[in-house]
Amino acid sequence: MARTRRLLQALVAGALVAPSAGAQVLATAPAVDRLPNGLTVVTAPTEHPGIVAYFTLVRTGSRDETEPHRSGFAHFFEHMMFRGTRTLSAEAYEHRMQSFGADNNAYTTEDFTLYTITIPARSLDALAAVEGDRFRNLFYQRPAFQTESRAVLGEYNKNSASPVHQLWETLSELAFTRHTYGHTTMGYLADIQAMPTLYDYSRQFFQRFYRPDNCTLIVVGDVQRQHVLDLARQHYGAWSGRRAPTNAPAEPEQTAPRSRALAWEGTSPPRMLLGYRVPPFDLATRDSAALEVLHALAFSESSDLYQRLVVREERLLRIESWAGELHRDSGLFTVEATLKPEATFDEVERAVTEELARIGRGETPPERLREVASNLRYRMPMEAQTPSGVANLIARFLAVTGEVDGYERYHRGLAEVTPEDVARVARTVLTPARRTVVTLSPADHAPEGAVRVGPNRPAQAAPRRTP
Amino acid sequence: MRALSYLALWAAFGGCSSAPAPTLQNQGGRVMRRPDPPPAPPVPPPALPSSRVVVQRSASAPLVTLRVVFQAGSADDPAGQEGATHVTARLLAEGGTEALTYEQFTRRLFPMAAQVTYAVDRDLVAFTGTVHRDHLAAFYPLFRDMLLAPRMAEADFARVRTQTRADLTLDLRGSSDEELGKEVLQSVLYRNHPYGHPTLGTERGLDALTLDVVRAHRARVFCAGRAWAGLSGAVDDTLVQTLREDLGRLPAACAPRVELPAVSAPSGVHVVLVDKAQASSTAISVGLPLRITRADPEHALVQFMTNHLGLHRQSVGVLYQTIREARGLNYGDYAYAEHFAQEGWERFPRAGLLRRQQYASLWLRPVPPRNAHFALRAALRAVEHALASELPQEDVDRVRTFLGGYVSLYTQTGARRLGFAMDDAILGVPEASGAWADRMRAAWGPVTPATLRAAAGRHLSARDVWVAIIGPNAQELAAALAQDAPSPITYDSPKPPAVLAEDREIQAWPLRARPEDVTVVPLAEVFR
Repeated sequence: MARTRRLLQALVAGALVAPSAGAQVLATAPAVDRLPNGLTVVTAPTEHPGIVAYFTLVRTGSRDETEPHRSGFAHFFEHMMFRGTRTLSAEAYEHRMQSFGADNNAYTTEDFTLYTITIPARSLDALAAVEGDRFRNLFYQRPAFQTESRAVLGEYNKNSASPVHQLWETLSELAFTRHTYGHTTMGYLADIQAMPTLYDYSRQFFQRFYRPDNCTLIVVGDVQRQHVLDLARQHYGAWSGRRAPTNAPAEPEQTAPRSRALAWEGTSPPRMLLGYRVPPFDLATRDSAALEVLHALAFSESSDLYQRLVVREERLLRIESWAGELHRDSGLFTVEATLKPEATFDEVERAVTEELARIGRGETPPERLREVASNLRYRMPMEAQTPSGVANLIARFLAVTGEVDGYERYHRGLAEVTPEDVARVARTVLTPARRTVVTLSPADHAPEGAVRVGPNRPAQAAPRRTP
Repeated sequence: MRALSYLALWAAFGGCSSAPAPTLQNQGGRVMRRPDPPPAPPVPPPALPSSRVVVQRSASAPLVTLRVVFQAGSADDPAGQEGATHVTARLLAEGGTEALTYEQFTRRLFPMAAQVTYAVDRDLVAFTGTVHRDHLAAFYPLFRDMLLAPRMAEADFARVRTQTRADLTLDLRGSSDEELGKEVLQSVLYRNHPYGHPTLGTERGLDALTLDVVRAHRARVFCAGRAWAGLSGAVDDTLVQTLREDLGRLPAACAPRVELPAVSAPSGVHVVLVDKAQASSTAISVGLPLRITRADPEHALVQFMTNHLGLHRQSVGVLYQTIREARGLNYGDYAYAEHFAQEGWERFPRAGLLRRQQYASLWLRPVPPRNAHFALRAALRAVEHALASELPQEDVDRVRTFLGGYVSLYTQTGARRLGFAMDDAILGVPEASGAWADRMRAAWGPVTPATLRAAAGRHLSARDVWVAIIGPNAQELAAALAQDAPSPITYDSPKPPAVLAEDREIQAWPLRARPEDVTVVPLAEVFR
């Protein structure tokens, strides 16, 4: 049920919005309430008759996997949340969800886990009872745990058929030497294979992180604040405990470029990922917002670079980027390029470097920056078309900033980004010294010394060093 | 240049342009004859009939969606030019217009954050534009010119063909085993049939395309007589009329639609294995042709049964519970009563996938290669059991309640409501009959265990099916399948006695595939 890091990046990239002056992302600000036990309840009524998105945000993700050999555990645990309670078996839980007509799923990222349910509004009251029970009283036996761990392995296998998965896994590993962003949300294959032995740990995990003060209920659509609050008090009020602290180890500044070449045992065009270390998300400065503007300016389909390399000169099959700024700790601004066979990794790296340098010199026409601002502004309504779209938007910014109106403040911040801000982050953040490059070639065309990888053979066969 | 090309369009497709007006001749100061009256303006071609236009107004919606669907698809690809429809559609969407290069076109769309997409299936191609209503006036001419005045330049054609070839050979064949399995399934199910190749085409078909072929193909299939139009959001009558008139100027001379030969159901289990040595897991798709489509009353019943077996990406289905939930063999297992593709990241079905002939299918997500034989048996046995006896009334009620609520989630956006409404219009369903989801809900109301069993038994089977398998050690698996060898399974975690008891039945469950019906295909030969 988790999406890969790449998919998450795509989501993150799509959400940011440059407003017209003073405009709000949502017509009505969501209401925020906090129960005495620390559970936050966000209610956002929207004009979607008969439909409700009922999301539960847990501010724990793969970032919190700080112990040795526990990579991928937050995601695995997300699967276990579907395995019933002391009073409601997994099968009965499924049947209850079925009776609501629910679209029931979840996904895990570096920074959070999000349980995403959309239902016809008539089922809201009954759903709140089932969900309250699930988050307070989750219970499953060891065999069910072990069986589910194999479904997670199946998910890894499904992902690893694609060489892109190996690129992301390697990029994370190489760019982070200490921080837990060094492994993907899926986790390392060796850790996934060992998961069946961790039943007791999974119970601790629930106790440590699935606590009311670490969770937020986000209810969007055909709902009323008071009614949601009443339901929350009734079904979550008795939930207790405090989230255990975790300290993701600090990642030292990167001061020199890093790179690794992979040789893929299968069919693939040459591909490369460039990752630049960017600062943690910050609403107080304009850097995070400026990175989002830069990503649209430099790498969107309308960009000079895209039009030159993909359309006019046809050196690439594709190029896309993710600003990567929406992370609690220092993350990666990434650029992914799929090359035509005659193109070289060096020329792509050079083209990207030159384009960033040009932007860093402030040579972007003001008109072009206005176009980017307009694009970011008008992209938002596309994101917020459905209750689940709105709930996602609120959740992602809340997860990283800890603030319910995080998306709103960021939205305002985007409008304040100046041309000099964009030039500055191009000059000071996306520098070669902060860059990590991973290339992937078909095995018969790989450079000497390339690490052989394939669906059977991840680049990272054994768990990396852990703090 | 633009005006000229419009004139050319009038001449080519208008069919009614008047003869050149006689010139007024002045010879020696004498008027030789009276001037003719000024020429009548050319009679415009007929607008798209209103019966082919779906309008869903919403004054408050911030977004406007324009959707043009052609009754054209990869089934129209000429023999030896497989991929022609896909490349043509992509060239329209990604090749610029007569007035604007693709770069300029993209630059115009960008500040509006407007989205233009194309989607090609066997029988339908849909072009969809979504834009904020603030920009509708500026967006409309771009959308119109994409369809009516595409640039169709050699360089853009070459690029689009190369990208499509890469999508076929590098993505589909190289790194998307599950999608490859679904395409291989259709290729055997529809062998020697216009549906028998992927919409992306084949390598040879793509290589045989030229710009002239694509231009001619556009005129044959992206033509007025095959077009349907839809608008949703804050749209006024003027825009509706303008779109109708503009689409009336599409090429007039449509090629007749390709006749589809009847597809016979396989007798027994037929297996095609694609040998992918480097794969770490095995993807399995199963299917059989259906005699019915969404237009038939029994479709709702078959849909009910496949949703019970495995509604897409939901965990409640029989297959999911059997293969993933009880045994942890993979990530999910689903069943379908018609061709299915999901909408982006959403789990709901996409509109625009109507076909004149349909197939039912099972999708088993990749399993460990050593368990592939077992998983196939588990799936087919579960289907056989579901078909063999009446479902308990309480299960029928439970599934009905679920589906009744779930289908109301399908159409949460204006664009999706429009897509489903256009599908209905193309099917010939009167608007008064209600939205698709409402009709399905109504059709599911009277379902009983007996009617369900009867209809499912008429159309579904666990015994006469095609199976497509993508994975390593194909020869070894093929031999085991041909011999109907037992496929015992071991687990590295304890399983309840009931599961282990069922395992003993599954591992010996006879597939009865004849050896001559089990074939192995090298990866490189697929869609070559």
